[in-house]
Amino acid sequence: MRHNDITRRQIIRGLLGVGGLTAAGAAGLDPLLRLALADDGSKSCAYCEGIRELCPTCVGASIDAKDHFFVFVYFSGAWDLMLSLDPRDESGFYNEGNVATSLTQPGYKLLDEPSNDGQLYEVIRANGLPDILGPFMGELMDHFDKLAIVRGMSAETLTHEAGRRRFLTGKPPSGLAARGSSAATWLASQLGGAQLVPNLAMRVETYNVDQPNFASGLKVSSVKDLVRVLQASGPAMNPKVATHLDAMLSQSSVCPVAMKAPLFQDAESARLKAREMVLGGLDQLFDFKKSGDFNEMIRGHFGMSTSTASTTTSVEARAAAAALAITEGVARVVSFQANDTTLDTHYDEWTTDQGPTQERGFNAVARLIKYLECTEYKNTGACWLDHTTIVGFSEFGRSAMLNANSGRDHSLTNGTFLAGAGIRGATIVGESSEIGMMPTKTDLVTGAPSDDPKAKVVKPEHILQTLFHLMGQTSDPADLRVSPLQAIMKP
Amino acid sequence: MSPTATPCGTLEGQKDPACGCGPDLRWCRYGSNYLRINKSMAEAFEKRIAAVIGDDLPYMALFEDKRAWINGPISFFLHNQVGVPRINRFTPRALPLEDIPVLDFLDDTWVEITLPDYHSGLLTDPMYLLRFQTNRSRANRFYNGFLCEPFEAPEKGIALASTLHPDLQQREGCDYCHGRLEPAAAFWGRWGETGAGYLNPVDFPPLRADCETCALTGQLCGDDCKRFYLVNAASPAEEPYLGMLNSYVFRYDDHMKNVEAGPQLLAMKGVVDHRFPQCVSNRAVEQIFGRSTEVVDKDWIDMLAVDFAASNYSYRSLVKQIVMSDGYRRLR
Amino acid sequence: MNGKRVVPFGWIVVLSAIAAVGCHTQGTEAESLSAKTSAVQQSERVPVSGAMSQAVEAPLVPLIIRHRRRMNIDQLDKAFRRVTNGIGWDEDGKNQLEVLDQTLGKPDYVDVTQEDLSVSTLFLKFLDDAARWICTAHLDTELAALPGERVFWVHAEPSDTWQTNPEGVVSNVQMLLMRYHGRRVAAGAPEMEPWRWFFESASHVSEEPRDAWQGLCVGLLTHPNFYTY
Repeated sequence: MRHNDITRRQIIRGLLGVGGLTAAGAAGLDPLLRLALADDGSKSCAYCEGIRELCPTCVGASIDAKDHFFVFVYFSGAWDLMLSLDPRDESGFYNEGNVATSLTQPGYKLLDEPSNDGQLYEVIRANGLPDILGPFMGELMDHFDKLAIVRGMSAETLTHEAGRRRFLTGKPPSGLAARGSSAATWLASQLGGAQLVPNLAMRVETYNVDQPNFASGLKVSSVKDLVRVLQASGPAMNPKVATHLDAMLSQSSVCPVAMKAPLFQDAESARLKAREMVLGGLDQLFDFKKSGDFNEMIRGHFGMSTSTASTTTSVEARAAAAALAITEGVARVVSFQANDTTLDTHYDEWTTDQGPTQERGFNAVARLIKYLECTEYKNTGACWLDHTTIVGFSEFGRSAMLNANSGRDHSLTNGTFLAGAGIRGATIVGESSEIGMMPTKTDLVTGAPSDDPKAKVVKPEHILQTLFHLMGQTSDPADLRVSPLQAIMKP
Repeated sequence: MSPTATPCGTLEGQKDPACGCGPDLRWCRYGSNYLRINKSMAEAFEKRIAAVIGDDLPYMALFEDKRAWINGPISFFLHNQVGVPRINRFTPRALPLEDIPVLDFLDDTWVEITLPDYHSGLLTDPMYLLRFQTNRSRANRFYNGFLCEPFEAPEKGIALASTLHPDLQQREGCDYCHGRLEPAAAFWGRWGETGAGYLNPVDFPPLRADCETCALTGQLCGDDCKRFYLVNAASPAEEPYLGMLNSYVFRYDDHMKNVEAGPQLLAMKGVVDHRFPQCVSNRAVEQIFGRSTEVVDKDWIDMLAVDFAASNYSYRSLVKQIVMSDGYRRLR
Repeated sequence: MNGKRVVPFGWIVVLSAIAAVGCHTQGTEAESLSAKTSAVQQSERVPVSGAMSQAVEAPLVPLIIRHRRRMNIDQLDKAFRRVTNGIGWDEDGKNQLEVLDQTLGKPDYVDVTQEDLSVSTLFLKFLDDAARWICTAHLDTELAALPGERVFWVHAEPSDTWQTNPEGVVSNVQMLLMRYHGRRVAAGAPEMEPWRWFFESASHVSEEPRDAWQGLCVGLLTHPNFYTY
């Protein structure tokens, strides 16, 4: 089926006041792509079937900061890394009879209908070494060649709010109160002046304490609410009266009383921004329930049904919204929550919910990755994935031992995964300890576990510093006071 | 009871198909009815606050007032489903069943009831107990909110102990906070953690013979003993406390009365030594001004605290004094 | 055709907006420049006892100042209903502030314990939606009410325009400014000017008097003086 994506993009760009599409003439394209094209300039692409007919090429070249976009994917509730990013092989040291020694209890046999029949995935890293991944990696396994996985991190807390806020800002919170601005806010302030919604957050907290107002996260709790925010609604006023009202409110904002109050100034700039947002017509972009070829493609690719609940409020809808917000020029940084069921499985719901909930989130990320791979970046012939870095995280991990309720409690040990622009694929760095899965030190340059004094236990701020370095900011602008994790950065 | 002898209004009953949903669906637990129950409990909490402020009672009536309100959803829950939640336990009951009016689930009428003497106003309300699920967190919140004495390490940090004494009041470093926090937590000693149950002194004495026996002999301990009593000593220091109610473990003689008196005694102490009115005044200024208080505010807040105490702790008078002040009118 | 003077619309708006003197004019510039500060305290010289006759500068005594802040969602809901005599944003029979509470940042005391009180783009977008819905419902109710029961049209009639009853309009606007913003504004005061200008120009460009009144209502609800204190 031919998807009317070009026409749709023209409509959206027209509404945004951005110049229309130009024909992708061969002369303007990357040399590699030109070589790959058939004489008539088109390329059939089985990989992107169902999304595009003509496919871009992901070349993985280095990019300028101004062409860099970010997606933060938050798995809420603290994930059990043994089911995914940091498994243990029960056939050896970690068998059931050795629990008292290993202090580790994978418990795969206790899982209710595990994916991949409860079997671990075997992978070969970019350095040629074999490794394993857990049974609930889902479709993300298809993208292992693009993934960097970090193991053995420390969250340095067992409190959900503290762990989450630490990963968002890179700074230990003050009690439970976040300190500093979110990394997403910081990135948006550096990069996102041109986008209508520089920083979009869907069910993820966002903080702005020291960055310009425009970089503050637009935080919504669902895609349905995002559509509402972008949609003109309610009884319309007489347009001429509305224009006069607008003029009066603007004039009021420059009176001396208003000028003395920073809040008045923030209010006026926010009011104008709100109006601009609504005039953009962007609600149509995210209203996935509507009929049409493009929405059908989006629903099909991201796995959404047409019923109201799943299409606008689900993980899949948020992943789709993230994809479109980035590729249609709406946002520079998008954060979204990758689960609707909690991962905080202290009880026997660990056997039924933990794995499938993670997997559903991984599947959503996998489809996001594929959509970015299959979407051309601004008529260059290259793909959006080459311009977008994706980070997946949770507040911390779960205990290596099962508790008395057949669940897992909180653990300091954490992990993360990244993909996309600037990230070294098929890479796994660090490790959690052999006994009890505790955080261990990692050489930040090589990624190997190390007891060298220069090696560090990787923490959230190392990951965020890596992102800042990827966009060219090497002077520690967010004052994180750590080095980046070079081992996961493309050379 | 189900035909298989399972009490149906319990967690076990939820797993027994023979229970079914029961008359009026009383044993069925589903999302929308729990939303209604949760919302009702939150409203009931707010009603208690509104009653104290609305009647212009002394502010510490928040911790003494025995009035509470129940509507249909709360009544339904307390009568039929109090044994069901497996994470937050509402047993042993904090209210005798006979004191809870029987109302239809759909009845949103509020009925006033009088709580037994062992309740301490909001500090033993289910909302407070569920929001702060350990006795330490309950004490911490009170100290933070009403005494303005947060438990924080000093700026230079705390030196870690070289030996890990199981009594945090004696563990080097930890004692900085736990020297005060442990006796403060003891005020909630008769209130179940991870829930809102009340451990009455008759059924849950400081030392219980069956719990002591099972602890010392290694016999299987009953559920009450496992939940509320020390039955396993992780160190020699704990052995003298085997069979004792958890809140009595490592309890000094001076602090044993805390367990029996309940949180209202903690509140009264704060009133007597003036920390309470000082802190309430400070918090009121923060709330009304929308910012943390600063050095420049200190003298004024001291004056507010004195006036607040002199007004018989009238919160309305305090708020009026603040909003009528020159400082409040100086708006930027 | 209809007897009205035809002037390019845009010019009217631009020139009128520039001409609107809604500000305090004395010392405006100096005040606005020096006022662009985010300092918490402002100092003024207060003489200490006995120093009046001496040529010695007295020490500065900082004053307590309050920062303007935004209403939280509950306060906003109550404020809507108070000024309209009970009408809130009840579109489709549901309080939309409750429907959108998570998106608007209202704490659920599970994940979110503190309400975000920033005047964000999202807040203002929904405030605008709410204002238009509420004003439509409010004015419909007012039209159906007896004159003695009205709270919006107290000193003027729904059919009044600037042209037909300027004194009544001004009195009504004064009443509304007190009701919605808690501000007592004299008829000739500079603070009245933007509202006077708005109503006059709205009356001029709209064929229905209701449109100007509706615009006034929306303006009152979306002005920072309503949702901040």
